[in-house]
Amino acid sequence: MKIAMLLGSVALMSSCSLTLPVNATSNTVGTKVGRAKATGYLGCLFFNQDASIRTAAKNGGITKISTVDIKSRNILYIVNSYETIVTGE
Amino acid sequence: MKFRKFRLIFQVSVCLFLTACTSVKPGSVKGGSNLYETFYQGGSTQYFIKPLKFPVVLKNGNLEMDFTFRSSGKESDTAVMRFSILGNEVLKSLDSFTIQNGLTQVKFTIVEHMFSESKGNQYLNRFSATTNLPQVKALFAQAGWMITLYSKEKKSAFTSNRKTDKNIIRIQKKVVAVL
Repeated sequence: MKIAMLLGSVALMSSCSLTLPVNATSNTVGTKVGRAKATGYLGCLFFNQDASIRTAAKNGGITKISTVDIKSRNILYIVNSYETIVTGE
Repeated sequence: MKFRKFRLIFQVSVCLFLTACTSVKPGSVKGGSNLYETFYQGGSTQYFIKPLKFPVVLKNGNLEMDFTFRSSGKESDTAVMRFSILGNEVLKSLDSFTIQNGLTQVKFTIVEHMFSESKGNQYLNRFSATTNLPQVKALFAQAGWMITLYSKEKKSAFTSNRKTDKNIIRIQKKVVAVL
């Protein structure tokens, strides 16, 4: 019983990963790729970093967005990173 | 009893922390590496090599360069390099830049300025240049890159550090070797 409770708690609590909104258009994947990344600590210390779609598109020289993918990573709740990858033309 | 309760909480916490190490990745992005991403294109694959860091020699600042290319197995496949220079100066244009790795040296004379903006006490200048896939393969054949920028009689050199060299070798093995 205890083991079942333990496993149940873990299963519920471990769903702590985060999926941020992902946009897609009907355009095919563009030849340009832009990326913006923000890394924070303890879930709150991000020091005004910018991982926006706008910045990713700017970095890739993209004016017409095809796809947007956002990848989040969490290492022991100490280091959190968010990476936005935009493709387009 | 108190010890058992503590042990249970400890075990749950450990499990939670361990499972929290997983990352979430949307289905449209393939790869799994922190160094590159691949995009399915139908007849070809598009690769995006994430920015490689090159600290500046002598002064404060650094250069980050990323690569985007498609591989269809043709010699005419092109690759686009985009790089950001973080430094104390605003750079609106570059005359040329070279990348050398001990085996080969590639010179780029057409460099497009994308934007410049302030970032903290420094300036971020972003540029773009086009090359071909064989040159990218030649560059990734060996680590120990030196990137030299030439602008209005000024010359700035950026070299790869140990971590970047390791990343170049990993990219060579995982991406460039299979092109």
